[in-house]
Amino acid sequence: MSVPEILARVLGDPAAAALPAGTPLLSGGLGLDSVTVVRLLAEVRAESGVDVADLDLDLDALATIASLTAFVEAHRGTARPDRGLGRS
Amino acid sequence: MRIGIVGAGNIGGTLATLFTRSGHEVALANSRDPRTLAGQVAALGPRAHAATAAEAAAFGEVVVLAIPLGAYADLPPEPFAGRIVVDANNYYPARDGRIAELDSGALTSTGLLARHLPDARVTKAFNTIHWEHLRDLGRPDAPAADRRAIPIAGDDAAAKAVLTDLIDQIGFTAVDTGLLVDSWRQQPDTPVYGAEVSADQATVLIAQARR
Repeated sequence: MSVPEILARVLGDPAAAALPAGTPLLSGGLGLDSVTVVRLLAEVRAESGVDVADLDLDLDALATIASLTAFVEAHRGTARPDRGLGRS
Repeated sequence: MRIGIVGAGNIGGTLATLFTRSGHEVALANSRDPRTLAGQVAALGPRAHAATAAEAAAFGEVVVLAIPLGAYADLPPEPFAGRIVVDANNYYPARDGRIAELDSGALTSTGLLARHLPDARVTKAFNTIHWEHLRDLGRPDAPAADRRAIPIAGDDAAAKAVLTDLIDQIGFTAVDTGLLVDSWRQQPDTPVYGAEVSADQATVLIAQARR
């Protein structure tokens, strides 16, 4: 499952999967609150095995949908997923 | 709004100043006789008066607790019923002694308070900010993005909305950490604890917390 698809699931809004990749995740964009960010990162970790919060100490990865997607793709395969089969 | 503040030290006293300056009526209490607060409330002006802890709780629609964790047990639960309680305290084992439920993570320190005040609408805020920053860094005229963030938590969404508005009035911006069970994310030794950061930065630091 891709980052935009995970985002759509967390937000409960299928249309979110088609948002422009440059959409900011926080203020000036989707305005995700910390509770939602926690859920999003947990889902990303479960799906991809990439623990964004653990790997990106500044969390620049959370700037936009594109930056989070790029970060996850760059780190796939470096950690074991919580469940299921990881993708390489 | 009528606000009770229990604890007249650095955080409690600073909040009394900020809230009276914002036009709120404040009842300020400490653990001793209210007469010991005469000088402090006189300096706060006509919107403030001294009270016992029970009187401050009865007075306030919002009641801030800025007292050591060990002092909770002395609070009478009855006058806090229905009140929006704001827990500004932290669990410091060196000061408060070891509490097994908190050490194990089975309970947050604010969860412990909520158990003592079962009929109160308990929230957590002002526990991560140094009191001098609370005193000096509020920018009521600045847009939210330029303000320092104050993490808040609580189970009652309406109570958190009131708290968010109060934080806005004194020049900061509230960032929602989640429910009381999530409030460990803003306890001591987490990334957001003590951090001088914007709301966006606080949001990611809260997400980054580990236990």
